[in-house]
Amino acid sequence: MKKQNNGADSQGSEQANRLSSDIEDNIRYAQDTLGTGPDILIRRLHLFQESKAAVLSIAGITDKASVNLLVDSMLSEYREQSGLAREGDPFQALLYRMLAVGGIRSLETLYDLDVAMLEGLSVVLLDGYDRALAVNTGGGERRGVEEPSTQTVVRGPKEGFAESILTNISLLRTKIKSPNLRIEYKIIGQQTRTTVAVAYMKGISEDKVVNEVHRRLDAIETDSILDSGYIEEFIHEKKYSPFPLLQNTERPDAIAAGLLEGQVAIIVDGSPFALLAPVTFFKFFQSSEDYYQSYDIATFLRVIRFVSFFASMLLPSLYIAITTFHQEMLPTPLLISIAAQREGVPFPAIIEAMIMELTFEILREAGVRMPRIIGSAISIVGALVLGQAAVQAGLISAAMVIVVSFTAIASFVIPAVNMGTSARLIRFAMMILAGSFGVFGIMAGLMVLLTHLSGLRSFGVPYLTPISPLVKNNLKDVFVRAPWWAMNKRPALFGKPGTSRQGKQEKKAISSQSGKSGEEEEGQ
Amino acid sequence: MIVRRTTSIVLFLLLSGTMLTGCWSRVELNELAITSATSIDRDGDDWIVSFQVVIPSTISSGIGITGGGGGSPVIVYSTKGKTIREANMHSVYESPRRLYFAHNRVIVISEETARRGLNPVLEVYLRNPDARETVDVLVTAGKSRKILEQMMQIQRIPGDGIREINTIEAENSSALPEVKMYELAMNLASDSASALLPEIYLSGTKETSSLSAFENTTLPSKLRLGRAAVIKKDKMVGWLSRKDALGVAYMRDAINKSLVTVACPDGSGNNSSISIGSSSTNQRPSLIDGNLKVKLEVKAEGTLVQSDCKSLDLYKTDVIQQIEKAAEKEIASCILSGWQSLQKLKADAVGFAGLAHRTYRKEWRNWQKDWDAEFARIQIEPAVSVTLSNVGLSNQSLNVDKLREGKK
Repeated sequence: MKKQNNGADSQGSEQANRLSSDIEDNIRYAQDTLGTGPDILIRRLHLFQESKAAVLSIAGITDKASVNLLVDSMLSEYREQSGLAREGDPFQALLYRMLAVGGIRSLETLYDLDVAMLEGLSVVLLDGYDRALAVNTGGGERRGVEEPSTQTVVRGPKEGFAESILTNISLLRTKIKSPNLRIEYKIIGQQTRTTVAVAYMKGISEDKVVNEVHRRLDAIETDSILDSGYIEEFIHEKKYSPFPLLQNTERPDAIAAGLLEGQVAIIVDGSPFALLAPVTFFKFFQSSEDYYQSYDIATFLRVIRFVSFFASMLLPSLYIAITTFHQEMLPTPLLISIAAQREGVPFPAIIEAMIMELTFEILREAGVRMPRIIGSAISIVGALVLGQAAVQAGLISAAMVIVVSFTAIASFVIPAVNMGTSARLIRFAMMILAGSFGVFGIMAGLMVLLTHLSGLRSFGVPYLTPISPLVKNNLKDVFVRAPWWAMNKRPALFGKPGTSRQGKQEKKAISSQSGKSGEEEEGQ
Repeated sequence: MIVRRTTSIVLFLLLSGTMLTGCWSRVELNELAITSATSIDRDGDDWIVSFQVVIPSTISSGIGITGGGGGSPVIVYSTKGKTIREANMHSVYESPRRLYFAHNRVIVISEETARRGLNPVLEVYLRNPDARETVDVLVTAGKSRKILEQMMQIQRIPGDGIREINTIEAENSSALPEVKMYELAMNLASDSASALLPEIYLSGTKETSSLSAFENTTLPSKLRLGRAAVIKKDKMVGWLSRKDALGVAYMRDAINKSLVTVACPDGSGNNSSISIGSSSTNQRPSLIDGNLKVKLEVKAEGTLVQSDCKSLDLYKTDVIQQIEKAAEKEIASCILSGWQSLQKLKADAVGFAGLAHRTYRKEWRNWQKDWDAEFARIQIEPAVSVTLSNVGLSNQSLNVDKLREGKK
């Protein structure tokens, strides 16, 4: 509560103001602060013979049926009388005998009254009392559960997080039906008052990490949290790094898997993207689908992803370096073929590559921002004008177009969009290095990158674990995805070391069972 | 503060590095004259170096390449200078692009140049990093520039084509070796100080130096591999015929694949051919009266690929043995004739000097003083054994008359 005091000064004094015992004062206050628009609903009632009462709510963020039920329950004469008779006090009668809608809490100050209404609660005022009751009639229109738009899978659950935090947590709870799943809430943002939930598995997550997540969330001082992206930037370690230090996902199954490996999830109201911390570099190359399809193809795809990552980061720079510095590295027929294509091109390779890469980035950005209806126009302009016409006009060599296209496609292979983005940024730096120093420059750049990666940490976990430092047990899920029956131990980096996922005999059980049953039959 | 200053210094240094681009060895592809073949001639004391430069736009005719198509795929020009490198440098007076030797496939050396000494050529190739010592070395009688001017069928870049011919020949016939510059240097620097180089020559009447010749199915002249040039102590001393060269290859254990054609045992005058799939030679030295004697144990394995003999029952082992014997004799005769030619030229292209040095180190000290004399006294004894491992799909010689009878 101390935090809110730091906000607007006017609020500070108002906060201390208690509710008036005169109901009209309180209603006037609410109208002053929230306005008298059509969405501010004030229902005046007369209860207990002549005592004035009122129900205040905001239309749109409350559930109409709940508000009606609330009012209805108050207007029951039978309840009124029996309640008053048993409790003696009208306010107590209201609280314990009359209100038919749950989630009731008592309000003391004017500020609380505003906040409660803005959170979607209905406030019940009774004349003569300097207290009020807030009743949970939350609701309003929100997007329902749909298939995630970013991390699609062929096989696996098709549901994705929505904006409502309650929906999201319900999705998570249906995945993990364990009392060990702990969810703790906090409110961040003085103006937006966004609900943020911290979810973790007790007994699997490291307590230190959970505490650290809480500490960092509590340290955030900002007026607004509109998406989990805000939180991500506030709480990750290094302020300057092209690499993502928190994982985000739209998939409840990915969050559940993360929790079961000991990660801590941060779910933010209003954002379908939940965060997972801590995270390592290699986590970004794992897709949910890896675990749903057979391990051999998952392993193959994972290798493809690593190759694509390096291709999307390095391919244009290698092209520049080899064609302008190390022509002897190419086989003769290839060299002559590329030389033939470059014959009429008026730009040096580095400029040519920069033009094409920037063009692609512009096309891509346009494709993302543009209304979907005119999307096809972009593909025509992109493919025809930039692909073919530029080559035919002799401005760009065909090989360059191939390199740029491959780079572009490769950058989409990485399952985590934010990791793909870092490869995109690094690509430009690498191109400048390659244009200046050739392969030497690329190697120097990679060296700097490796040093940087080794120095990164996400909530205390070295970014390159389990490769550096080497954690042998965790290698089962890095470059290869071992079969489920072989991954007995949880990855030791996030959670408590050595906790097992399953009995070791899992695989044996299947084989020995079938063997035994055969023997038994013979015996009989 | 210190951290910030260091970062800014590092950033400044890095950024100033990128400003240096112009000074570095950056060369765009369209500033390079990709040389596919080089030739070296002598004119008095001067060197004439010719370059066969690829014109990329005529080779690959993809979309968007202006002026592609019709023209000659390569252009040849010569420069002259007191040294090879000076001649190279003189190319700047006429070439719009920098000569680029990393993709030079072959170097053709004229007989005159070879006879006057190859040391300067080796020196240039081994000193400079841009000229690769993996280039194939060939010798031609007459002016070597003529070879570069010759167009080639199928392969558009003649330099590349010459190398392919050389490689394919060395793999399949093994008579002429494919010698790279560093191998030549190693051979000449070894105890024997001798090497063989393949000869390339123009067969035919007229030069094919114009594309118009390709409108016909036959070319008036072609590039061809011929004899083997024998180099001794950096100077060429003579030629070996292809048969002799094959014998030397057997002696050197340098056979990949080869072919032996032998007369039929029935005396019909027809021949059979055996494709040698693998062959290994064991050189077994011994001392006879203080002189070196080398027993050459050749073990070859082959397939019968053609037999025109009248009647040949390949089910019988003695028939197989007869063919094997004939092949052994043929190979031994190759070896002997090659050996005689080498002794005549006093060039130890087999590398017996190294063998002698390794096995008879005490005697070597004497022999070393006059290896030529000792070389002339060496005796060889070829012991060839050929195994016919496969006779193909038929155990008889195909004869249509017999087939018709068999049907009845």
